[in-house]
Amino acid sequence: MQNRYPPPKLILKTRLNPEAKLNLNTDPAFLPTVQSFIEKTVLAFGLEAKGALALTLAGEEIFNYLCDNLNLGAEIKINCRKGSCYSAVDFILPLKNLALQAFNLTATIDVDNEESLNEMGLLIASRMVDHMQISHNENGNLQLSLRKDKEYPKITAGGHPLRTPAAAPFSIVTPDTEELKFFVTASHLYTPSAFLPHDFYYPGKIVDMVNAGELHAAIIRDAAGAIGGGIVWRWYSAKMIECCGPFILADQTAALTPEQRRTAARDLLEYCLNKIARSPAVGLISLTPGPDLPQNHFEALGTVFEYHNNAPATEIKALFRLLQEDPGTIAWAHPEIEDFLRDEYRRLTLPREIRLSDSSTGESQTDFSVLTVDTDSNQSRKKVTLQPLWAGADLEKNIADHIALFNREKIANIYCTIDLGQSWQAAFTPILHKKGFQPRLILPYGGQGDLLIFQKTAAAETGPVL
Amino acid sequence: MNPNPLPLDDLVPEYIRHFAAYIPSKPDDELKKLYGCDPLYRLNNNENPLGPPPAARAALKDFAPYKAAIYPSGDAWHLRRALAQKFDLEPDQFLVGNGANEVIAFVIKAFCQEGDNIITADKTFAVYEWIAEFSGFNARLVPLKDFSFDAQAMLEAIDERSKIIFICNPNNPTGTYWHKEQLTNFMERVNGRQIVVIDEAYCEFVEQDDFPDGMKLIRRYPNLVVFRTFSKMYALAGLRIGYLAGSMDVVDIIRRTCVVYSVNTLAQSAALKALNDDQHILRTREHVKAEKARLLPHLKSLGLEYQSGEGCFVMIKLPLSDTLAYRKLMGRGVMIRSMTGFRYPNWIRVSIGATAAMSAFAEALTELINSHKGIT
Ligand SMILES: Cc1ncc(COP(=O)(O)O)c(C=O)c1O
Repeated sequence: MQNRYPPPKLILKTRLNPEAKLNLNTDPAFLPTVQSFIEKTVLAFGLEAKGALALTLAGEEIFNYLCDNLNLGAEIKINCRKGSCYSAVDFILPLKNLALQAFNLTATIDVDNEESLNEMGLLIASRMVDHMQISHNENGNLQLSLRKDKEYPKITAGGHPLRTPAAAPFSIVTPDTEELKFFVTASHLYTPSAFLPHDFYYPGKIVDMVNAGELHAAIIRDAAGAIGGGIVWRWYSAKMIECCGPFILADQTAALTPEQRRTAARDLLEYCLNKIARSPAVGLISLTPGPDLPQNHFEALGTVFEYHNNAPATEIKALFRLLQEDPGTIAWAHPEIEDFLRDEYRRLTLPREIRLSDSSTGESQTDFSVLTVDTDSNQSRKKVTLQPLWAGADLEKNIADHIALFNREKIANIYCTIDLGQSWQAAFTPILHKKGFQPRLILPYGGQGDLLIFQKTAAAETGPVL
Repeated sequence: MNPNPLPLDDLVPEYIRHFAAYIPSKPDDELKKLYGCDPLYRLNNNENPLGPPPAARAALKDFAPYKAAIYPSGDAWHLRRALAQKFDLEPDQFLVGNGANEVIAFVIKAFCQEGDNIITADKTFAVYEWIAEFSGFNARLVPLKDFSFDAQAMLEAIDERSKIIFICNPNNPTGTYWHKEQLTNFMERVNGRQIVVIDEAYCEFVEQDDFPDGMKLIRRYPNLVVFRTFSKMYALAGLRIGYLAGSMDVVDIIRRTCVVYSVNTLAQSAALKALNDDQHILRTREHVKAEKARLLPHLKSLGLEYQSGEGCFVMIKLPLSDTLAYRKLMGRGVMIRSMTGFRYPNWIRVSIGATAAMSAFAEALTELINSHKGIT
């Protein structure tokens, strides 16, 4: 489970995470300053030497790249953050006078030329870390974030068999550290691994995330203290919370009747819902709905496919519920996607005013387009998500270059999300279609408006086939 | 791009940065367009379908437009005198606000400072919790027990920084209430250490003999503050007028945080006329009773669990997401309250509206439940 955005911290008040900040100019003379600032800071955060080195090297690449591509002396900020289970380095650049096109991951390289690929600072940096994100931050700056995860011992699947299965009635509590580890480990015994979050192989990581308030957990416990199951949840985006579970620790024939099992699962989910009900979140999403998830609390959004290098694609069925009454909103659509949106909005009973936006009306455009990327490479799958930052005349070439780059990097899971609340993003639709992307699902209120998630389907040149 | 972005991170307190603004529903014309429905029955705000009492209507009709140019009485002078007479208290024991919502803020501002907390229930009217949280005070939320405020657990939640305890009596949304003895026992055990607010927004709907009248307890318990509103029984929600009453000493403190001139002339004069119309109360109670008598058996026949107590609303548990049900019912022209926000996921609350609205609701709900059965 990656934290894709810094989580708002309303739900669980936590102590402030350690942070260190550096303000400086893009002058190559500062390279040693940047290097030792990042290295010393992340070592002080407790990142292992290997990880600290990788993050430092990635940071140096970025700084060099900024020196090459920004005006000499441009002011930037470097911010080192300690997260629960990771260290992160943010480069914060004022958008003023910034040649944004330099921040396309493909900028300054020729994707057909292997050598140029190796010279590309942004790309190299992304290869060295677990997660890189180029985004537009809240205060109108461009933010480039690098993140390296701490290493945790992996449990061998299986966990401890439960000597005394828990028996109803249960109470729902926030687990202590040992209970949390017990729940996470034991869940491998009773829930097929496909439904468990990848991080459940690393109980220490789960504990760190919970202690830092980045992940929240609840378990059910019987009167004798036996643990009967649990649920975890976390911020998925600025407006959305994702839950994993509930996972009940009992096999189908065990101490619980089917009714008791359903009740336990429902109580866990409702506990989670009640915790987030008055938070700023607008919705709860479940991307790995397991067998115990009470489906009558959710709506089916759609399916995306996760491609693996040496295994068949797996389906991810996104379930979702709004936490609030839907006030209705506008969805800007390119005519090519209008029918899809109308059908989906009708199926989901979402009140939307679809407004057509047509980019073929001939007005002048800026020359270049910019895409932000979010790369996630620390798990068994490699995944990248593109998002429009700027539309321009070279959009088609830009998207093609990105796809070529990801193909070379053997990234099989390529997504592009467009914000239907922002009219200018509609221009991306026909090009995405042309480049083999298919609309998969609508995430209500996932951005300024609804997010439409496209996925690159397996065209001949991308390898995996649906 | 703004060349000098505001340093909002530095300007905005942490507790505001992560607080989500409450977005009220759009106006009817917009909603009808969005959901493609007409008519639209609003059964979401516990309004009185009978409308304001006749004397209040007359006051509204007779309002001379020139008076709009003149400030209202800044402290609702005449209305406070009428309230004092009705409840046998002094005029200065009342503060009138722009809806009861405004007086909630007066009380919290008057008694809480950094580090303090308030105590209320997890599943009750949300505004006590909201105002506390966005003012930087912690709201300690005590779980309801059997749909009711749990006196023992609330007492146990008190610590040395607890300043105010909010009890909603009868509770919105569950309709449960503390009877006289429960309330006085609670007051005895609090023993004057905290301010206890009894929100009686729906008290005029209650006919039970053992229902306590907060106004009568103020003399005995100087730490008791009672909230009432003209929005519900008196059907003046659109004019925004409510009030609090308490002991002279306590009200004298709260007055310091009270926004004067926040209650408009029209609201003051309509409220003054509405106050003593007992016939209106009887007619409204009859209507609520009759509609509940029609609705509840229907819910039973649909196999739905419900919670119906005092007040002009009923909670219903659905076999599907309440926020989905909200959208589906809106498509059929009926607006209810989805209850995830009340921490009752998959429940909805329907207000008792006019007969035609209740029929439309019953029909839309039946269709919703039947079509849902077809799916699962
Ligand atoms: C319990 C309760 N208190 C107070 C209020 C606020 O009323 P007013 O309209 O006077 O602000 C309401 C309104 O819904 C309510 O339900």
